[in-house]
Amino acid sequence: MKKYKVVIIGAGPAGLSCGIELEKWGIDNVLLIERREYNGGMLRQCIHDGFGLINLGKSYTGPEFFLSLQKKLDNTRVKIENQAYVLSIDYSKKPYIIKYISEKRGIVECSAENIVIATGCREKPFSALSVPGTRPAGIFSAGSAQYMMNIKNILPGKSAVILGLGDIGLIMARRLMLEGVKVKMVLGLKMTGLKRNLKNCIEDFSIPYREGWSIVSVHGRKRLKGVSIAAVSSDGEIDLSTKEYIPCDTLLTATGLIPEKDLCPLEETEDVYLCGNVKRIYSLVDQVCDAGAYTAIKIARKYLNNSKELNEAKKILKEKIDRSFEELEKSREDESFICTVCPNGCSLSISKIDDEILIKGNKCMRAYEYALSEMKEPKRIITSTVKLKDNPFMLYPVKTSKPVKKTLIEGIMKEIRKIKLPNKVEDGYIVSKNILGSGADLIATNIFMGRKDEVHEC
Amino acid sequence: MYDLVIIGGGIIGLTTARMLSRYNLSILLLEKENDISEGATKANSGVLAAGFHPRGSSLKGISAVKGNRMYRKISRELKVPVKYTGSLMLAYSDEGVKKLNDKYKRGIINGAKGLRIIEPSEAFKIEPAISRKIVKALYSPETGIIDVFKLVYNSALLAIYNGVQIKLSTMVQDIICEDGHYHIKTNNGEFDTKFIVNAAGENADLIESYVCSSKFIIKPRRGQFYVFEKEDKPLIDHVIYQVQETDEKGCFIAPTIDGNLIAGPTSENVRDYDDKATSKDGLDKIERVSKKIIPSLQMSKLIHTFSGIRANISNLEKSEKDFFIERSNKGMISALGIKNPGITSAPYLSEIIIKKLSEDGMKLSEKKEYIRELKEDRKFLDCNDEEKKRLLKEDKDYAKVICRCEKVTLGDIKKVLRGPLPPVSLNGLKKRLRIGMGKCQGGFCTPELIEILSKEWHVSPDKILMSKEGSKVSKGFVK
Repeated sequence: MKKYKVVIIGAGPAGLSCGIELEKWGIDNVLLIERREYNGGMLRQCIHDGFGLINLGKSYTGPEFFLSLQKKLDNTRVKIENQAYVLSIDYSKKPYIIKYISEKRGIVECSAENIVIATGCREKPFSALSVPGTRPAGIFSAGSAQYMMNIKNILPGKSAVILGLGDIGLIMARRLMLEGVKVKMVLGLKMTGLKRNLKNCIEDFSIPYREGWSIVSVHGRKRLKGVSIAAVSSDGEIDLSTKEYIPCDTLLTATGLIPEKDLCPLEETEDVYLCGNVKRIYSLVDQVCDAGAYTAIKIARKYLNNSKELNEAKKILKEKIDRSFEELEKSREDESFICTVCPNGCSLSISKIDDEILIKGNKCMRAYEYALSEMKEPKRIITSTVKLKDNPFMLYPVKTSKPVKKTLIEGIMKEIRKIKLPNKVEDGYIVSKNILGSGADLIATNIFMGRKDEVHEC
Repeated sequence: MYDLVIIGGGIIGLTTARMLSRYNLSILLLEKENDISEGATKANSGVLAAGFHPRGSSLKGISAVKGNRMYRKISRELKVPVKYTGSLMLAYSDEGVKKLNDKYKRGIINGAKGLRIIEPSEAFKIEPAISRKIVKALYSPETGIIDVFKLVYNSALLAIYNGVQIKLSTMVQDIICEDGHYHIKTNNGEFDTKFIVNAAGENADLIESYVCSSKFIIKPRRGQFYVFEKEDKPLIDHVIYQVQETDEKGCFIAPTIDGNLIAGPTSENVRDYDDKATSKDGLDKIERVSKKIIPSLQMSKLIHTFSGIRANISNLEKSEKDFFIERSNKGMISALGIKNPGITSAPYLSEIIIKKLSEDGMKLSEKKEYIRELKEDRKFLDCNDEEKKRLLKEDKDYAKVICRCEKVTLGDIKKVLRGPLPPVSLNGLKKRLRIGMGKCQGGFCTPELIEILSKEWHVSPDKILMSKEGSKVSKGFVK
């Protein structure tokens, strides 16, 4: 039986970051167990941009952000076991025994001095909300639909209503519109998504949205035919006098995430660490990465006695994490215009007097230029996917190399639909040069299958 | 010419088919839906009743008591998990105690054993989580729980292994009596048979009307349920009924064989059998009663709500209502008004059906060789390590976990898809493997299943159904 110092379960952003940070402090003999054939967790299906503004200083797509983590991990001694599913963990004595099943090697047992559980979270299913009505096909949780659309090339429906005004709901609204699905409405009790998502995902596409509303009934016996919605007061009372019917064939629900605690010990156990969304639900991937690194530092402290450097790093990281929460809260409350170009996230006040545009609050010229272009001729980076030649059930993430005029989005999406890529291309491969004369290239943001490590059995 | 055609692939039809499959008979079972057990058998509590609910000496009561006990053997033969958990029925007032006494008497008349009226202190010892407001309780050791999906699927498998043919998506449209035999017209071919069992549930009155004027009018009566997440330590081990107060009907809470809790059902008339919607009133009622029974019940553990439809005889007074096994015509036996506890009663009712067929001249000579019981068939992850290693050598797909919540692998899925009674929809898979029944309710596995089924069946993803024809899960490819 192979003996490890640390076994990390889950190769999403938390698990990857933990592995990278452990190496930084010289902790060797680490195994990362991942259920899927590729690493990255949810980042792989989050093909939109806006990741890494805090930690990497610019906006990445999910696959790109993942790639940056994977490249760092490749320079470590961390062993990776993909397509491996943990069957059980024996917490009764130390070292802990982990039993998992791997497609390559069958049933495997290993021991671990420390266990990091980075299994993320799952979505609360619509059926758990006990909304009255039928149980037809066409109801999906938003993340499930995102996986279908962005990776599996499966279209959930043609016209949709989205329940949930969090980031996932807003981002899926834009995705559906981009990929040709009509979004009839996005609704929820409270707007909890980031300002930039409200702006870029909902307002850009003129999608109707309602705050303080919910779904009160589901209609359709075979496939969904529509939903009834009604206003809900702040104390949770449904006002049926406001009831409206919206025909649609698809309902996406983003009503909450639940930590995936199946592998966790029932009570707090020494040398077992919960890390990332399994511990608490974070809003930003940067925070999840920091949480992964923080866990690594906690483990490293046990092996590097009283290292000053380590204590310092821990303090800095802790402060950074706390600050990111405060800033996030602040940015939610701020009513003004937020620049999304750099992590400064300047709050801009923009006013128009006659034909002159006045911009205040920018720390640098980029924010000024951004605000100006937003006023005159708004531009967006388009992120989407293209077909592969040999696999109809796999899509390849792509994006425009720079922002393109909003007016070109529809045309460019049409072009993207026509493209077929060979099954394997390099990261940054130019899929289409100067697409639709926009001045931007369409580039591949690679699917990275993870390093193929062999974990040899003793 | 078949010896026997069974109309209806629910619990009665399949149990009868399984029991008769040991005899030298050519048997065809017709089911109008695209899978077995799509009617009342599909959506119920999975409780094996002890027989103290129905009127004393009614067929319903007697068949529940006898059927309940027959499941000990059936469970072994069909490898279907059954647990005799016992039950409590709670009374909150003196008025309620009168009703408890009445149930006790009914039970005794029907033949139930071990019934006792107990004090609250004893009830709390048996089930610490129940309401402290009770004044008495009726204890029954015989109440149980069963895996209904597995029961019907395995009944069908054993019947098939012994030569019974099952034709799905085949709706009987007419039955013509010709000299000495029947000619059955369906949307999917015509069949000649000497004998008929009418186990068409909701449509049993209609089927009967093809050969005689039916005494009964059967109408749909809906029951709604709540399902709660599996827990390491379930709140209750017993089935907990309560004496009805005001409009609560027979709502109760029970553990399921898989470790969930189920609460319900309501009872309301609806217009048609496809009206399986839940209603706000119904769901509110279940929540109210559930919390009354178990005050500490957490609604946040809810994972699913659903409705089932009972085949209810509507033209009889309550005091006359019962299960009816009738001879509709020579050689044609009908099971009418079989609603709850139909699962419990099924084995005994099927025995009556068989007896009546035999009285009408059906010869019951045992086959020289037939399969008496099924082999244990566990899902890969439920096997021991030895078996796991053996299976992995056969097929690497067993290492690919598709449903995390219910622990189902690609190997398990392919085995069912290539088996003798393959599903044609996601719900069909769900009934056979529990895939998608866990706490994520298909969030993780549905996209995978669409791909697996598309590839296995060589169809585009928009052909994959959730359940019935028309219930398309997706609208094809994005690109």
